Amino acid sequence: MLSAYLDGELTQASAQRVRVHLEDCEECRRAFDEMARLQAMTKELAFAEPPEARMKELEKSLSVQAPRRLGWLFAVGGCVAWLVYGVVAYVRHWRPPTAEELIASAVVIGFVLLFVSVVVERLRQLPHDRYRRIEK
Amino acid sequence: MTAVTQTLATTMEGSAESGRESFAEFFERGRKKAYCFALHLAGDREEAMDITQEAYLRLHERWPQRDPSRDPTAWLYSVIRNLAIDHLRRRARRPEADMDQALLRSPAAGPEKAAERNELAGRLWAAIGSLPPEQREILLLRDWHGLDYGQIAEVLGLSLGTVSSRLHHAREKVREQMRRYL
Repeated sequence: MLSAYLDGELTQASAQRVRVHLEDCEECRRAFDEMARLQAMTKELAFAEPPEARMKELEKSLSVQAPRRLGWLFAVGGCVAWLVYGVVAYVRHWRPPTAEELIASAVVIGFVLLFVSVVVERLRQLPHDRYRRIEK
Repeated sequence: MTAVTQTLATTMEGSAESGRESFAEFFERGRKKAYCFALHLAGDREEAMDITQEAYLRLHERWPQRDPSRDPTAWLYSVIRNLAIDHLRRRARRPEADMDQALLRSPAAGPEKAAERNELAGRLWAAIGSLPPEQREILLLRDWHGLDYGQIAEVLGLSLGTVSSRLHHAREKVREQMRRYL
């Protein structure tokens, strides 16, 4: 009761009961005063500061996360759409590809392979990821 | 607020709407306490920073899905706690083994009072460090981090009654040890 009273977590009626009791009971009053003092001292404890350089790094990495996610979304979505469009066009209007189309295809295939290699690397690292099993 | 934080605030989350806090603001106001919570649990500065970093990255990922009417502090602390438990489990290390005085830094005080305050702070920290981990954690969450009972219950997955009684026992034990210095 004293702890909850100190923290202002009692209902009005309970707090009133404790207040009245404290007026009459010297022992409880002393206990309450000591608790309050210790609470104030605990608040004042000064712990090691976080390393500022790492905090700055974290701040920077957080600032690039959103655009990076959006970038991946566009890149993957664009590649998939382009491939689907190419396959459909190829099937519906087959003709020998022009040099420009071959070059464009090479570029697309190159990017797709690079993307796949990144994904594969990430999947390989996954079993060693320290946080992968943690919920929340 | 630094330039990077401002960029965070304006480009990613937009300016804070009434009653809503941007991630950058949340990060700015809570990062030091978040780090200290990780430090209290892990007992190691390097690990505490790793945990803090991972926790913020996780929160940032899920920030758009949060309930904006609720203070995300308890959420952050839950994530930090889970990560810290995982760290300790992996290292098969007991947290109380690391609750040493090195985690404390000298309180800001005048030179004549500094030694006395340092000594008292050291004694208090030793008394808190001698508590069982579940009592120490709850005491620090309330008295140092300033969480209310509802937030503590959410972080630790306890009922309000358990929070209240556990906190009371923790305070009684510390009071017992510190009585002669009060």
